[in-house]
Amino acid sequence: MEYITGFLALAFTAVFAAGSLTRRKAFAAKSRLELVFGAADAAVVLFGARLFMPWGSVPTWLWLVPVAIFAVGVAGAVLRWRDLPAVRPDRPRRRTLAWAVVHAVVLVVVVIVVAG
Amino acid sequence: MTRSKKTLVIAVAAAVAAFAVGAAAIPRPPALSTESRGDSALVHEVRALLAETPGVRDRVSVAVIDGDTVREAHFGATDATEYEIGSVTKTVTGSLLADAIDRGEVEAQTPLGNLLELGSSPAASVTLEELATQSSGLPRLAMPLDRVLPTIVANYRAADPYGSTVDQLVASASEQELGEKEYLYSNLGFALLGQALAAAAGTDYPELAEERVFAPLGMDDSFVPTSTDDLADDAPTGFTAAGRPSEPWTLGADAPAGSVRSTLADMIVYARAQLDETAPGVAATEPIADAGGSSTIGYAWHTTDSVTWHNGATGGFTSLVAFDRDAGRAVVVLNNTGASVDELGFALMEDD
Repeated sequence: MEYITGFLALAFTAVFAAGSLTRRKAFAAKSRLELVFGAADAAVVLFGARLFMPWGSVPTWLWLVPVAIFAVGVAGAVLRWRDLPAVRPDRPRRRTLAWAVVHAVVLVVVVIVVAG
Repeated sequence: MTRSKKTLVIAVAAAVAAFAVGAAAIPRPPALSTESRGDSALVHEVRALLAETPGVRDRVSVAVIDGDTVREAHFGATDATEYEIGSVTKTVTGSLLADAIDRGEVEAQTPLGNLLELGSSPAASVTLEELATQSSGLPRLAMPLDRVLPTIVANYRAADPYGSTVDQLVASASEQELGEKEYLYSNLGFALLGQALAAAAGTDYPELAEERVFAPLGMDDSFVPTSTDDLADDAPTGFTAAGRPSEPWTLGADAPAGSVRSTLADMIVYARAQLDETAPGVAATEPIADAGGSSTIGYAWHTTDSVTWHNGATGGFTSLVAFDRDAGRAVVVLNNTGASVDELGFALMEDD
Protein backbone atom coordinates (compact mmCIF):
# COMPACT_ATOMS: atom_id res chain seq x y z
CA MET A 1 0.00 0.00 0.00
CA GLU A 2 2.78 2.42 0.95
CA TYR A 3 4.42 1.87 -2.44
CA ILE A 4 1.44 3.54 -4.11
CA THR A 5 2.70 6.93 -2.96
CA GLY A 6 5.91 6.33 -4.92
CA PHE A 7 3.99 5.55 -8.10
CA LEU A 8 1.76 8.58 -7.50
CA ALA A 9 4.84 10.78 -7.12
CA LEU A 10 6.16 9.53 -10.47
CA ALA A 11 2.76 10.06 -12.10
CA PHE A 12 2.15 13.57 -10.74
CA THR A 13 5.66 14.85 -11.47
CA ALA A 14 5.44 13.36 -14.99
CA VAL A 15 2.09 15.05 -15.60
CA PHE A 16 3.53 18.37 -14.38
CA ALA A 17 6.63 18.02 -16.55
CA ALA A 18 4.57 17.03 -19.58
CA GLY A 19 2.24 19.99 -18.99
CA SER A 20 5.10 22.45 -18.87
CA LEU A 21 7.26 21.04 -21.67
CA THR A 22 4.92 19.79 -24.35
CA ARG A 23 2.80 21.84 -26.76
CA ARG A 24 0.49 18.94 -27.48
CA LYS A 25 -3.04 19.97 -26.70
CA ALA A 26 -3.89 16.93 -24.59
CA PHE A 27 -1.06 17.47 -22.09
CA ALA A 28 0.03 21.10 -22.31
CA ALA A 29 -0.85 23.50 -19.49
CA LYS A 30 -3.15 26.16 -20.88
CA SER A 31 -2.51 28.88 -18.32
CA ARG A 32 0.00 29.98 -15.73
CA LEU A 33 -2.52 29.02 -13.07
CA GLU A 34 -2.56 25.44 -14.38
CA LEU A 35 1.23 25.38 -14.30
CA VAL A 36 1.28 26.59 -10.71
CA PHE A 37 -1.28 24.01 -9.58
CA GLY A 38 0.51 21.29 -11.55
CA ALA A 39 3.67 22.12 -9.63
CA ALA A 40 1.82 22.31 -6.32
CA ASP A 41 0.10 18.94 -6.89
CA ALA A 42 3.41 17.30 -7.75
CA ALA A 43 5.14 18.86 -4.72
CA VAL A 44 2.42 17.69 -2.31
CA VAL A 45 2.47 14.13 -3.70
CA LEU A 46 6.27 14.12 -3.49
CA PHE A 47 5.93 15.18 0.14
CA GLY A 48 3.55 12.26 0.74
CA ALA A 49 5.91 9.81 -0.97
CA ARG A 50 8.76 10.98 1.21
CA LEU A 51 6.66 10.33 4.31
CA PHE A 52 4.98 7.08 3.39
CA MET A 53 7.26 5.09 1.10
CA PRO A 54 9.01 2.27 3.02
CA TRP A 55 12.43 3.80 2.49
CA GLY A 56 14.06 1.11 4.59
CA SER A 57 13.06 -1.44 1.95
CA VAL A 58 13.86 0.48 -1.26
CA PRO A 59 17.03 2.38 -2.26
CA THR A 60 16.71 5.99 -1.17
CA TRP A 61 18.29 7.24 -4.42
CA LEU A 62 15.00 6.34 -6.10
CA TRP A 63 13.67 9.50 -4.44
CA LEU A 64 15.81 11.50 -6.85
CA VAL A 65 13.89 10.16 -9.89
CA PRO A 66 10.61 12.04 -9.28
CA VAL A 67 12.63 14.99 -7.94
CA ALA A 68 14.56 15.16 -11.23
CA ILE A 69 11.32 14.93 -13.22
CA PHE A 70 9.89 17.73 -11.09
CA ALA A 71 13.00 19.87 -11.70
CA VAL A 72 12.65 19.36 -15.45
CA GLY A 73 9.02 20.43 -15.09
CA VAL A 74 10.13 23.60 -13.29
CA ALA A 75 12.51 24.45 -16.13
CA GLY A 76 9.73 23.90 -18.64
CA ALA A 77 7.37 26.08 -16.63
CA VAL A 78 9.87 28.95 -16.65
CA LEU A 79 10.33 28.64 -20.40
CA ARG A 80 6.59 28.60 -21.10
CA TRP A 81 5.59 31.21 -18.55
CA ARG A 82 5.68 34.24 -20.89
CA ASP A 83 3.65 32.48 -23.58
CA LEU A 84 0.74 31.62 -21.36
CA PRO A 85 -2.22 33.70 -20.17
CA ALA A 86 -2.73 34.01 -16.43
CA VAL A 87 -5.95 32.01 -16.64
CA ARG A 88 -7.62 30.07 -19.40
CA PRO A 89 -9.39 32.51 -21.71
CA ASP A 90 -11.90 29.88 -22.85
CA ARG A 91 -13.40 29.47 -19.40
CA PRO A 92 -15.48 31.89 -17.30
CA ARG A 93 -13.30 33.61 -14.69
CA ARG A 94 -15.74 32.76 -11.91
CA ARG A 95 -15.44 29.06 -12.69
CA THR A 96 -11.65 29.31 -12.80
CA LEU A 97 -11.58 31.12 -9.48
CA ALA A 98 -13.88 28.54 -7.83
CA TRP A 99 -11.71 25.69 -9.17
CA ALA A 100 -8.55 27.38 -7.88
CA VAL A 101 -9.98 27.95 -4.41
CA VAL A 102 -11.25 24.38 -4.08
CA HIS A 103 -7.97 22.99 -5.42
CA ALA A 104 -5.91 25.08 -3.00
CA VAL A 105 -8.08 24.10 -0.04
CA VAL A 106 -7.76 20.41 -0.92
CA LEU A 107 -3.98 20.70 -1.12
CA VAL A 108 -3.78 22.51 2.22
CA VAL A 109 -6.03 19.92 3.89
CA VAL A 110 -3.96 17.06 2.48
CA VAL A 111 -0.75 18.66 3.77
CA ILE A 112 -2.25 19.28 7.22
CA VAL A 113 -3.62 15.74 7.52
CA VAL A 114 -0.49 14.07 6.20
CA ALA A 115 2.00 16.19 8.11
CA GLY A 116 -0.08 16.08 11.27
CA MET B 1 22.28 38.56 -23.27
CA THR B 2 19.11 38.14 -25.38
CA ARG B 3 15.78 37.68 -23.74
CA SER B 4 15.49 34.01 -24.74
CA LYS B 5 18.98 33.24 -23.46
CA LYS B 6 18.17 35.00 -20.21
CA THR B 7 14.99 32.94 -19.86
CA LEU B 8 16.93 29.76 -20.55
CA VAL B 9 19.46 30.63 -17.86
CA ILE B 10 16.65 31.30 -15.38
CA ALA B 11 14.97 28.02 -16.33
CA VAL B 12 18.16 26.04 -15.78
CA ALA B 13 18.82 27.83 -12.50
CA ALA B 14 15.26 27.14 -11.31
CA ALA B 15 15.58 23.46 -12.24
CA VAL B 16 18.92 23.17 -10.44
CA ALA B 17 17.45 24.88 -7.37
CA ALA B 18 14.40 22.59 -7.38
CA PHE B 19 16.59 19.51 -7.72
CA ALA B 20 18.93 20.74 -4.98
CA VAL B 21 16.04 21.24 -2.56
CA GLY B 22 14.69 17.79 -3.42
CA ALA B 23 18.10 16.16 -3.11
CA ALA B 24 18.62 17.81 0.27
CA ALA B 25 15.33 16.25 1.38
CA ILE B 26 16.38 12.74 0.36
CA PRO B 27 14.82 10.27 2.83
CA ARG B 28 17.11 9.21 5.63
CA PRO B 29 15.38 6.28 7.33
CA PRO B 30 16.87 5.19 10.65
CA ALA B 31 19.41 2.38 10.39
CA LEU B 32 20.29 -0.39 12.82
CA SER B 33 22.19 1.19 15.67
CA THR B 34 25.94 0.68 15.45
CA GLU B 35 26.08 0.66 19.24
CA SER B 36 25.86 -3.04 20.07
CA ARG B 37 26.35 -5.01 23.26
CA GLY B 38 25.79 -8.51 24.57
CA ASP B 39 26.97 -11.92 23.39
CA SER B 40 29.32 -11.13 20.52
CA ALA B 41 28.44 -14.23 18.48
CA LEU B 42 24.73 -13.48 18.81
CA VAL B 43 25.29 -9.81 17.97
CA HIS B 44 27.09 -10.90 14.80
CA GLU B 45 24.39 -13.42 13.91
CA VAL B 46 21.51 -11.02 14.49
CA ARG B 47 23.20 -8.29 12.47
CA ALA B 48 23.70 -10.74 9.58
CA LEU B 49 20.10 -11.98 9.74
CA LEU B 50 18.73 -8.43 9.81
CA ALA B 51 20.85 -7.52 6.81
CA GLU B 52 19.00 -10.24 4.89
CA THR B 53 15.57 -8.88 5.80
CA PRO B 54 14.84 -5.44 4.36
CA GLY B 55 13.16 -2.82 6.50
CA VAL B 56 13.78 0.18 8.70
CA ARG B 57 15.73 -0.67 11.85
CA ASP B 58 16.92 1.32 14.82
CA ARG B 59 16.93 -0.33 18.25
CA VAL B 60 16.69 -4.09 18.54
CA SER B 61 17.00 -6.35 21.58
CA VAL B 62 17.20 -10.12 21.24
CA ALA B 63 17.43 -12.98 23.71
CA VAL B 64 18.05 -16.64 22.96
CA ILE B 65 17.33 -18.89 25.92
CA ASP B 66 18.66 -22.46 26.02
CA GLY B 67 17.76 -24.04 29.32
CA ASP B 68 19.66 -22.07 31.95
CA THR B 69 21.76 -20.21 29.40
CA VAL B 70 20.57 -16.82 28.21
CA ARG B 71 22.37 -14.96 25.42
CA GLU B 72 21.43 -11.36 24.69
CA ALA B 73 22.15 -8.99 21.82
CA HIS B 74 21.30 -5.31 21.88
CA PHE B 75 21.56 -2.64 19.21
CA GLY B 76 21.18 0.88 20.60
CA ALA B 77 19.51 -0.56 23.68
CA THR B 78 20.06 -2.33 26.98
CA ASP B 79 18.04 -5.02 28.71
CA ALA B 80 16.19 -2.20 30.51
CA THR B 81 15.10 -0.39 27.33
CA GLU B 82 11.32 -0.11 27.15
CA TYR B 83 9.47 -1.44 24.09
CA GLU B 84 5.83 -1.75 23.10
CA ILE B 85 5.27 -5.52 22.75
CA GLY B 86 2.03 -5.11 20.77
CA SER B 87 -0.04 -8.23 20.38
CA VAL B 88 2.26 -10.32 22.54
CA THR B 89 0.01 -8.65 25.14
CA LYS B 90 -2.66 -11.13 24.03
CA THR B 91 -0.63 -13.93 25.61
CA VAL B 92 -0.86 -12.08 28.93
CA THR B 93 -4.63 -11.90 28.43
CA GLY B 94 -4.68 -15.61 27.55
CA SER B 95 -2.72 -16.39 30.72
CA LEU B 96 -5.20 -14.33 32.73
CA LEU B 97 -8.06 -16.44 31.36
CA ALA B 98 -6.34 -19.71 32.27
CA ASP B 99 -5.54 -18.26 35.70
CA ALA B 100 -9.12 -17.05 36.24
CA ILE B 101 -10.40 -20.53 35.38
CA ASP B 102 -7.99 -22.01 37.95
CA ARG B 103 -9.32 -19.53 40.51
CA GLY B 104 -12.90 -20.49 39.72
CA GLU B 105 -13.84 -16.95 38.72
CA VAL B 106 -14.93 -17.97 35.24
CA GLU B 107 -15.22 -21.07 33.08
CA ALA B 108 -13.96 -21.57 29.55
CA GLN B 109 -17.58 -21.70 28.37
CA THR B 110 -18.75 -18.64 30.31
CA PRO B 111 -20.67 -16.42 27.86
CA LEU B 112 -19.32 -12.91 27.46
CA GLY B 113 -22.76 -11.52 28.23
CA ASN B 114 -22.46 -12.83 31.81
CA LEU B 115 -19.57 -10.42 32.43
CA LEU B 116 -20.20 -7.41 30.18
CA GLU B 117 -23.39 -5.46 29.51
CA LEU B 118 -24.07 -6.80 26.05
CA GLY B 119 -27.83 -7.30 26.40
CA SER B 120 -29.23 -9.78 23.91
CA SER B 121 -26.70 -8.94 21.22
CA PRO B 122 -24.96 -11.77 19.31
CA ALA B 123 -21.66 -10.98 21.08
CA ALA B 124 -23.26 -11.85 24.44
CA SER B 125 -23.35 -15.52 23.48
CA VAL B 126 -19.65 -15.75 22.61
CA THR B 127 -17.68 -17.81 25.13
CA LEU B 128 -14.41 -16.77 26.73
CA GLU B 129 -12.67 -19.75 25.14
CA GLU B 130 -13.91 -18.75 21.69
CA LEU B 131 -12.45 -15.30 22.25
CA ALA B 132 -9.14 -16.71 23.47
CA THR B 133 -8.82 -19.11 20.53
CA GLN B 134 -9.72 -16.42 17.96
CA SER B 135 -12.82 -18.32 16.85
CA SER B 136 -15.59 -16.10 18.21
CA GLY B 137 -16.96 -14.95 14.87
CA LEU B 138 -16.22 -11.35 15.85
CA PRO B 139 -14.46 -9.20 13.23
CA ARG B 140 -10.82 -8.20 13.53
CA LEU B 141 -11.73 -4.69 14.67
CA ALA B 142 -14.83 -2.87 15.78
CA MET B 143 -15.19 -0.19 13.16
CA PRO B 144 -18.29 1.94 13.60
CA LEU B 145 -18.83 4.24 10.62
CA ASP B 146 -17.86 7.34 12.57
CA ARG B 147 -14.44 5.78 13.34
CA VAL B 148 -13.52 4.84 9.76
CA LEU B 149 -12.09 8.21 8.70
CA PRO B 150 -10.29 8.97 12.00
CA THR B 151 -8.74 5.49 11.88
CA ILE B 152 -7.46 5.98 8.34
CA VAL B 153 -6.06 9.39 9.25
CA ALA B 154 -4.48 7.98 12.43
CA ASN B 155 -2.79 5.25 10.41
CA TYR B 156 -1.35 7.78 7.99
CA ARG B 157 -0.22 10.02 10.82
CA ALA B 158 1.41 7.09 12.60
CA ALA B 159 -0.88 7.75 15.56
CA ASP B 160 -2.72 5.32 17.87
CA PRO B 161 -5.96 4.46 16.06
CA TYR B 162 -7.55 3.05 19.22
CA GLY B 163 -8.57 4.83 22.40
CA SER B 164 -12.19 4.07 23.21
CA THR B 165 -13.51 3.72 26.75
CA VAL B 166 -14.71 0.37 28.10
CA ASP B 167 -18.32 1.53 27.69
CA GLN B 168 -17.69 2.50 24.08
CA LEU B 169 -15.96 -0.82 23.43
CA VAL B 170 -18.88 -2.79 24.88
CA ALA B 171 -21.45 -0.67 23.01
CA SER B 172 -19.54 -1.24 19.79
CA ALA B 173 -19.34 -4.99 20.45
CA SER B 174 -23.09 -5.17 21.02
CA GLU B 175 -23.62 -3.87 17.48
CA GLN B 176 -21.49 -6.57 15.85
CA GLU B 177 -22.88 -9.46 13.82
CA LEU B 178 -21.10 -12.76 14.30
CA GLY B 179 -19.41 -14.56 11.42
CA GLU B 180 -18.45 -18.21 11.18
CA LYS B 181 -17.01 -19.66 14.39
CA GLU B 182 -13.68 -20.41 12.80
CA TYR B 183 -10.20 -18.96 13.23
CA LEU B 184 -10.22 -15.22 12.54
CA TYR B 185 -7.65 -13.09 14.35
CA SER B 186 -9.59 -10.47 16.29
CA ASN B 187 -8.22 -7.58 18.30
CA LEU B 188 -11.79 -6.79 19.28
CA GLY B 189 -12.20 -10.29 20.70
CA PHE B 190 -9.13 -9.99 22.91
CA ALA B 191 -10.05 -6.49 24.05
CA LEU B 192 -13.42 -7.85 25.19
CA LEU B 193 -11.82 -10.92 26.78
CA GLY B 194 -9.46 -8.79 28.86
CA GLN B 195 -12.22 -6.42 29.96
CA ALA B 196 -14.48 -9.37 30.83
CA LEU B 197 -11.77 -10.97 32.97
CA ALA B 198 -11.19 -7.66 34.72
CA ALA B 199 -14.93 -7.37 35.40
CA ALA B 200 -14.99 -10.92 36.80
CA ALA B 201 -12.12 -10.04 39.14
CA GLY B 202 -13.67 -6.71 40.14
CA THR B 203 -10.74 -4.63 38.95
CA ASP B 204 -9.41 -3.05 35.75
CA TYR B 205 -7.26 -4.78 33.18
CA PRO B 206 -3.94 -3.02 33.96
CA GLU B 207 -4.28 -3.90 37.64
CA LEU B 208 -5.28 -7.48 36.83
CA ALA B 209 -2.22 -8.01 34.62
CA GLU B 210 0.03 -6.46 37.26
CA GLU B 211 -1.37 -8.54 40.14
CA ARG B 212 -1.60 -11.90 38.40
CA VAL B 213 1.19 -11.98 35.82
CA PHE B 214 3.79 -9.24 36.19
CA ALA B 215 4.14 -9.15 39.99
CA PRO B 216 4.28 -12.94 40.52
CA LEU B 217 7.01 -13.20 37.86
CA GLY B 218 8.89 -10.15 39.13
CA MET B 219 8.40 -8.28 35.86
CA ASP B 220 8.87 -4.92 37.54
CA ASP B 221 9.33 -2.93 34.33
CA SER B 222 6.24 -4.24 32.55
CA PHE B 223 2.91 -2.43 32.64
CA VAL B 224 -0.31 -1.82 30.76
CA PRO B 225 -0.81 1.81 29.74
CA THR B 226 -4.28 2.78 28.56
CA SER B 227 -3.51 6.40 27.74
CA THR B 228 -0.44 8.53 27.18
CA ASP B 229 -0.95 9.85 30.73
CA ASP B 230 0.33 6.46 31.89
CA LEU B 231 3.64 6.96 30.09
CA ALA B 232 6.74 8.72 31.32
CA ASP B 233 7.54 12.00 29.58
CA ASP B 234 10.57 10.37 27.99
CA ALA B 235 8.82 7.10 27.13
CA PRO B 236 10.48 5.58 24.07
CA THR B 237 8.65 5.75 20.77
CA GLY B 238 9.46 4.01 17.53
CA PHE B 239 9.39 4.43 13.79
CA THR B 240 6.91 3.27 11.18
CA ALA B 241 7.90 0.84 8.45
CA ALA B 242 8.44 3.95 6.30
CA GLY B 243 10.85 5.39 8.87
CA ARG B 244 8.59 8.13 10.25
CA PRO B 245 8.49 8.69 13.99
CA SER B 246 5.43 6.96 15.42
CA GLU B 247 3.29 8.08 18.33
CA PRO B 248 2.96 5.68 21.28
CA TRP B 249 0.09 3.20 21.15
CA THR B 250 -1.80 2.84 24.42
CA LEU B 251 -5.08 1.54 22.93
CA GLY B 252 -7.54 2.67 25.62
CA ALA B 253 -10.07 -0.10 26.32
CA ASP B 254 -8.40 -2.24 23.65
CA ALA B 255 -5.30 -2.50 25.87
CA PRO B 256 -5.77 -6.28 26.48
CA ALA B 257 -5.15 -6.78 22.77
CA GLY B 258 -1.82 -4.98 22.61
CA SER B 259 -0.71 -2.13 24.86
CA VAL B 260 1.84 -3.73 27.21
CA ARG B 261 5.24 -2.05 27.47
CA SER B 262 8.12 -4.18 28.68
CA THR B 263 11.87 -4.72 28.55
CA LEU B 264 14.03 -7.56 27.31
CA ALA B 265 14.95 -8.44 30.90
CA ASP B 266 11.29 -8.85 31.80
CA MET B 267 10.39 -10.68 28.61
CA ILE B 268 13.21 -13.15 29.23
CA VAL B 269 11.60 -13.93 32.59
CA TYR B 270 8.22 -14.26 30.86
CA ALA B 271 9.52 -16.52 28.09
CA ARG B 272 11.47 -18.74 30.53
CA ALA B 273 8.39 -19.13 32.68
CA GLN B 274 6.43 -20.30 29.62
CA LEU B 275 9.28 -22.62 28.66
CA ASP B 276 9.54 -24.28 32.08
CA GLU B 277 5.77 -24.13 32.68
CA THR B 278 5.98 -22.00 35.82
CA ALA B 279 4.13 -18.99 34.37
CA PRO B 280 0.77 -18.02 35.85
CA GLY B 281 -1.95 -19.45 33.61
CA VAL B 282 0.56 -21.54 31.67
CA ALA B 283 -2.30 -23.76 30.45
CA ALA B 284 -2.89 -20.95 27.94
CA THR B 285 0.01 -22.33 25.89
CA GLU B 286 -1.66 -25.70 25.25
CA PRO B 287 -3.09 -25.86 21.72
CA ILE B 288 -6.82 -26.66 21.65
CA ALA B 289 -8.08 -25.39 18.29
CA ASP B 290 -7.10 -25.02 14.64
CA ALA B 291 -5.53 -21.74 13.62
CA GLY B 292 -5.36 -22.23 9.86
CA GLY B 293 -2.71 -24.04 7.86
CA SER B 294 -0.65 -26.33 10.03
CA SER B 295 -0.98 -24.09 13.08
CA THR B 296 -3.00 -24.58 16.21
CA ILE B 297 -3.90 -22.16 18.99
CA GLY B 298 -4.27 -22.24 22.75
CA TYR B 299 -5.34 -19.14 24.63
CA ALA B 300 -3.67 -16.62 22.32
CA TRP B 301 -0.51 -18.71 21.87
CA HIS B 302 -0.11 -20.17 18.39
CA THR B 303 1.78 -23.39 17.81
CA THR B 304 3.40 -24.16 14.47
CA ASP B 305 5.24 -27.47 14.28
CA SER B 306 6.73 -27.63 17.77
CA VAL B 307 7.19 -23.87 18.22
CA THR B 308 4.69 -21.96 20.35
CA TRP B 309 4.71 -18.25 19.58
CA HIS B 310 3.03 -14.90 19.29
CA ASN B 311 4.16 -11.81 17.49
CA GLY B 312 3.21 -8.19 17.96
CA ALA B 313 3.09 -4.96 16.02
CA THR B 314 2.07 -1.42 16.89
CA GLY B 315 2.63 1.70 14.82
CA GLY B 316 6.29 1.89 15.76
CA PHE B 317 7.28 -1.44 17.32
CA THR B 318 7.32 -5.13 16.42
CA SER B 319 8.06 -8.14 18.61
CA LEU B 320 8.13 -11.91 18.78
CA VAL B 321 8.17 -14.38 21.66
CA ALA B 322 8.62 -18.04 20.72
CA PHE B 323 9.54 -21.20 22.57
CA ASP B 324 9.96 -24.88 21.91
CA ARG B 325 9.75 -27.08 25.01
CA ASP B 326 11.06 -30.13 23.14
CA ALA B 327 14.19 -28.26 22.11
CA GLY B 328 14.39 -26.34 25.39
CA ARG B 329 14.78 -23.05 23.56
CA ALA B 330 12.98 -19.70 23.69
CA VAL B 331 13.57 -16.53 21.70
CA VAL B 332 12.49 -12.96 22.41
CA VAL B 333 12.87 -10.19 19.84
CA LEU B 334 11.92 -6.58 20.59
CA ASN B 335 12.25 -3.89 17.92
CA ASN B 336 11.37 -0.20 17.78
CA THR B 337 10.31 0.01 14.15
CA GLY B 338 7.30 -1.22 12.19
CA ALA B 339 9.43 -3.72 10.24
CA SER B 340 8.64 -7.35 11.06
CA VAL B 341 11.00 -9.41 13.23
CA ASP B 342 9.24 -12.75 12.62
CA GLU B 343 11.84 -13.98 10.16
CA LEU B 344 14.66 -13.11 12.57
CA GLY B 345 12.94 -14.76 15.53
CA PHE B 346 12.08 -17.99 13.75
CA ALA B 347 15.59 -18.19 12.25
CA LEU B 348 17.01 -17.97 15.77
CA MET B 349 14.62 -20.70 16.94
CA GLU B 350 15.94 -23.04 14.26
CA ASP B 351 19.58 -22.15 14.74
CA ASP B 352 21.88 -24.86 16.11
